Amino acid sequence: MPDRISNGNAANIALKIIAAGIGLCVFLLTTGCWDSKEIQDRNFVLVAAIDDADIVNKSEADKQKAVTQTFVQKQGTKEYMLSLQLLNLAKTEGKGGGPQAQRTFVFSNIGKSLFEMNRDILGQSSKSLYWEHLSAIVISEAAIKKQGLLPIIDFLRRDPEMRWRTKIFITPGEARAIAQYIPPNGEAGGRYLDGMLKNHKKNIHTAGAKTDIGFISQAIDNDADYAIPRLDYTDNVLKLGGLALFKNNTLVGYADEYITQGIRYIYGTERSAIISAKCPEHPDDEIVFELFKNDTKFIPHIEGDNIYFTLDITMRGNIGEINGIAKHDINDLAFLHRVEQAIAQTVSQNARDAWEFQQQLGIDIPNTKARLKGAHPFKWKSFEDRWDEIYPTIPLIVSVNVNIQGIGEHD
Amino acid sequence: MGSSQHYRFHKLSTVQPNSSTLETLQKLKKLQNLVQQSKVAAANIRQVIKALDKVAAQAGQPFLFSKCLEINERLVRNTLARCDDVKYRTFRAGQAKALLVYINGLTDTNKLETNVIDCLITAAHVSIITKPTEVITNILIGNCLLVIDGFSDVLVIDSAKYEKRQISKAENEDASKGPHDSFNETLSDNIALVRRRTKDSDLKVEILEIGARTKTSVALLYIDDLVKPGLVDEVRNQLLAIRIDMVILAANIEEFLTNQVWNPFPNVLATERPDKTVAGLYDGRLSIIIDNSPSVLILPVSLQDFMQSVDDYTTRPSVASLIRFSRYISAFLAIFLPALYICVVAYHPGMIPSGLSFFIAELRAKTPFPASIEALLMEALLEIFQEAIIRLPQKLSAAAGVVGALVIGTTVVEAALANALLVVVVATTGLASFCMPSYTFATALRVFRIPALVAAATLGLYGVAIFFVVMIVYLCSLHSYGESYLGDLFDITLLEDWKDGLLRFPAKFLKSRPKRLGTIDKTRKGDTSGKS
Amino acid sequence: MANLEAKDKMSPWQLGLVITSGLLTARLLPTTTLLIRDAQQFGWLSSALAGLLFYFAAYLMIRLGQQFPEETIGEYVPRLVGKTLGFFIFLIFITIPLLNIINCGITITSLYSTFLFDQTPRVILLITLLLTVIYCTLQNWGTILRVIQILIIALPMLYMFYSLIWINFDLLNLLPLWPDNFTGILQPIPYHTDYYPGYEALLVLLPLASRGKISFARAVGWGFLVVTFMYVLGIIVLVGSLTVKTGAMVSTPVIYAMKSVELPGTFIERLENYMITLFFPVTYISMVISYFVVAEGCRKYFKCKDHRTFIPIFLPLIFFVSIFVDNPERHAILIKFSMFLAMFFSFIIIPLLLFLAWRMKGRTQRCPTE
Repeated sequence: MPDRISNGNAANIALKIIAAGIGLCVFLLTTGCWDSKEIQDRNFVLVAAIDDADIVNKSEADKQKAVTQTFVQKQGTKEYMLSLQLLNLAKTEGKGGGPQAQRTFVFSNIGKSLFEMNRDILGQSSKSLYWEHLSAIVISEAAIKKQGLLPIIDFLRRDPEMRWRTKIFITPGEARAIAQYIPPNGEAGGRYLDGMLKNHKKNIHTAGAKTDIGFISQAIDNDADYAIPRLDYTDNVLKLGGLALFKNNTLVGYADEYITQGIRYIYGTERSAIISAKCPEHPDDEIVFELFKNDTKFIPHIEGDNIYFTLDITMRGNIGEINGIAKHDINDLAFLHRVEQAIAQTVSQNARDAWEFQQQLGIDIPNTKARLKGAHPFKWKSFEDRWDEIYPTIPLIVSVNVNIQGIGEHD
Repeated sequence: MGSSQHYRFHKLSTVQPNSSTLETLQKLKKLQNLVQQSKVAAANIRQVIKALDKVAAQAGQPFLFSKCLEINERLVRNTLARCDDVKYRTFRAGQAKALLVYINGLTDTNKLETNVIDCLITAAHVSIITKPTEVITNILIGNCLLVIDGFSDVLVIDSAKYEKRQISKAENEDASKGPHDSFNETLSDNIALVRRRTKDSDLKVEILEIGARTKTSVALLYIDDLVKPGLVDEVRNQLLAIRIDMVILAANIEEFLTNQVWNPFPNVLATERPDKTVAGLYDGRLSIIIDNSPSVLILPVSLQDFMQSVDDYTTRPSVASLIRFSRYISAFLAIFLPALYICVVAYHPGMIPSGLSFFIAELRAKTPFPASIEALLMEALLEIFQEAIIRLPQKLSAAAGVVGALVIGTTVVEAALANALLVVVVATTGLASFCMPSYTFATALRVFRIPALVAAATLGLYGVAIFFVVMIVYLCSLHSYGESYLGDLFDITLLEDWKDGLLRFPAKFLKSRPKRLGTIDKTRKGDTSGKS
Repeated sequence: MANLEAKDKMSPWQLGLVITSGLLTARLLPTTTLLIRDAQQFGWLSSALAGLLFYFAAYLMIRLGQQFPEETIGEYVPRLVGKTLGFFIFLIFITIPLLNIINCGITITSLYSTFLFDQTPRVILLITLLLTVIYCTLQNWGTILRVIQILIIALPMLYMFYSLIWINFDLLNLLPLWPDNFTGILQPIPYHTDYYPGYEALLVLLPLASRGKISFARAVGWGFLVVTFMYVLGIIVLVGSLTVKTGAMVSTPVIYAMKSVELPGTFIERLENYMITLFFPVTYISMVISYFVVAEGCRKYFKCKDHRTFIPIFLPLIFFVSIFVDNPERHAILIKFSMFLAMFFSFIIIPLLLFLAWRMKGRTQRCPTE
């Protein structure tokens, strides 16, 4: 409260103006509430599936439906089909033990610009589309082959409503089918896909640590090569495994589960991997090693004209399973030591195979370019422009050290 | 001015030419400074007098009795100056003059009569009063008047019978481990409850009369050498400036102790507990006890003092600190929880995890109202419920609890008028506002809940942020006798006070009084020289 | 009611706190892009150097203020350089906090309307913001000081929130440790007027502070040190988690980096919204201090009783300029203008005034009988 002595006329006038201003403000505000939209009045977009528009040319019925679903464009082509999986708030109960309540439904549209297609889908929807809970982006291989990845994801990178950690997948087949997939446990489809990739810590056949849309965007900014997880969908079976490899925003190939495992060894992101090796004494048997902790050092070296990378992995874990007929004396330390060596051999072979696979494709997923430049910035300048020739010749020297710490509960 | 009885206003410049308001203001400021300094000087002089009295005394004693009654009376009066509840009674004991000093309320008058007065004089509490208004007042109090034919002097004999409530438990502020006695409606009993807890001669009791018709006695208590110089005079002047008919509630006086009359937050602490009062006195605060009211006012106080309870000092410091901190969180929730609910549901559903927002969307798909209307409806229901509970007789209040739970909780949800999450939010808000130790403070928080809701409904999280900032500015702008209401909570020049603010440090660390009260003696150390 | 406050002046620590709280605002968010674009992975070095430089300017201002104790710049500048020149210098001095308010208002309302809202017009956000700023500025300095001391709690909370970005930190993004060009580190230093705005308030706030156990320069120095340290660490982790190329392409790198943080198992998501909400009190404090400095400076210059007189005078100017700057081009021009003016005032005018003050003092000391 202002002191009475200094409360002159000026202060009174100032306060009156402010009071009038507040009154005006309240008047304006009560006519507004521009962004107030109830949560149940929004259609949550869970999955955005982008296909090549040509897939609708499969049947006449599909073609007719496509014409209704889309809009007229004065110029430009209709290249992509955007299918959005939306959350169904009013669950329809299955009658008398019928199919499970459908939690989601899918709308599609055909056009070129994702933003335009998104707004046109409002023509099919009773509520506005809300992208802040987008859980998965599925892009079909055919769509990528058209103009690469960049035109497809620009909308998803630019709009401030999007999240960085939305999962992105590439599928060789039809992306719309995955958007229409109903998970067996009743979860909404997008959450299911999101959860599938979050298992990457335990599932070494897929990569999920740096493959969200934000990290992909970061790799694009840095002109680096990146990998996106691969989804396969056949006959109501959805499987996540392997990676789609991208160079210069175009798809150059797929890495299968084995190569993915090798790439993860090089990156050092295998968290809780399962590594199986042949038993050194009984080649028909397999001994499975469960990894708990690993310590990976992937270091570039330049000596004169020789460039090479060393990969040192130290693994600690338990014996998870011995899958065989023969009897093994697991308490024999010498035997355990041979097992460790066998496992180390498997790991290093896997890493080398992955390394060579990448070199053949000309892909650099572990970002060796940046590592070389970071570690040896002066020497980097001398061969910077010859990088594409040099890269396929760089050897990887792998040394793996495995420690088996436990053998499980029952021998 | 040389004018007649009625007042006329003149311009200052007619009397004193070439004067300007600016100069006058400056001179007024100088005068105020001088007055302030003189108050400080007066306080110092009192200390000097005490020191002088100590000179002749033995070690540790404030003064030495002499053979002369007048000198002894002066020494005792000086020590117990401004204690209006101390009664002095001079009489003749045989040939010599005698003086009886006792405190009304603490002394058992029966014992006094039988052991002392019967031996020396024949009548107790007899005084000769000359002013007729005083005589009438005494009769109205309950004393009896003796008029003797042939004498113009009348005698008033103290024989009042006080009908009073026994000292009982505090109704609204019971503590689990502290003392359970509370103030009752009798002024002398209340002063006695305070005096019993401290044998400090510096505790001064000034009794004023307020209320033109009721002439209610109001006692002003303070510790003389602790309180900030000038504060007592300020409060006393304010009390004496009150011009009202009757004083029957403490609130009648409370409202006149502030300039900010529309402020919902209380600026004096009303308590029923004597231990809280004494603790406040020893912090350097004043206490106002009003006759016929069990509420005692403590001032000056700020927001931190409304968040403290006696239980904080009876439980272990670490536990007490957590509980006190949770009270601040509760105060925040009590204002902002419905507003945050509206933000999340109507403006920014992206801020909660997907699973939770789907769940909320499915819940709300069944209810018809928009979030803000729904929240306002539930708030209104909560307020009605709270008012109803207070008015019901005690026998029905248990049943009302059940009805409230059923009506508000279950039935509203089943009728799909509101969703279950909103009921939880509103119930939590209500409970959070009940966490406050002071009921008036809790009701003040309720005032801010609706504007917060409206702010959230218009501008979402931005509106809540704006409202929060406006509330902080408003609370900091409130002043109570030189103390900012909220502002001293995180003031870095008052670092010592933080030990008893948001958290409660162990007693070993609470060595100084609150610095913000500006007390003369800052440390709580005992004075080993022995105070009288 | 008489104000029985025993104290009516700030302590040196409070002065340091006030200046520090004015330093961190939302203005730094768009400027970070320019910083990363020019200095690349050495943005932290650039910020550290800029911190030193601007502390030096603040130190000069403290020395200037100490030559004229109990006086604000509006009172002694006409004596130093004459009435006309003094008026122009005072005008420049007033423009800098006004530009601070305008920049802060534009940035924070743009942030809110981009990330939290969709359709709400920026005008409405600006109106409510300015009214709230005025409500605080209308109080007396004691109240404003206390408001600052409470709202500044948002600053450590903001920084702790921001520190969650360390989860995504990758040292590889900061390599190589040798810059490609050294001028890139020095080039963005003038942009740091957006990182360290508001220390010109010293010229008006010094008379409101009393001497204490610590000197003003030390207290303000500690404040600058804390803020510089925060910036250095902040930019290291920003570039480490975002990479240089991404940081240079995104409009607000700090907010973009917050998007990458995922806290599984908690119920909070979209942490950038929380961050923007925490930026609000921090920016608000800076705007209030700037507005108060303008009002108080004018009050002392025009010898009025009350700083509240000047608050409605500048309000239309601030509002209309903020509305006018609504596209990136005009915003860039405004930022450049603010930068130029602040640098000119801090590094040309203030040393000049200090030199003149020393000379004046030297002359009066040499001839004490005059």
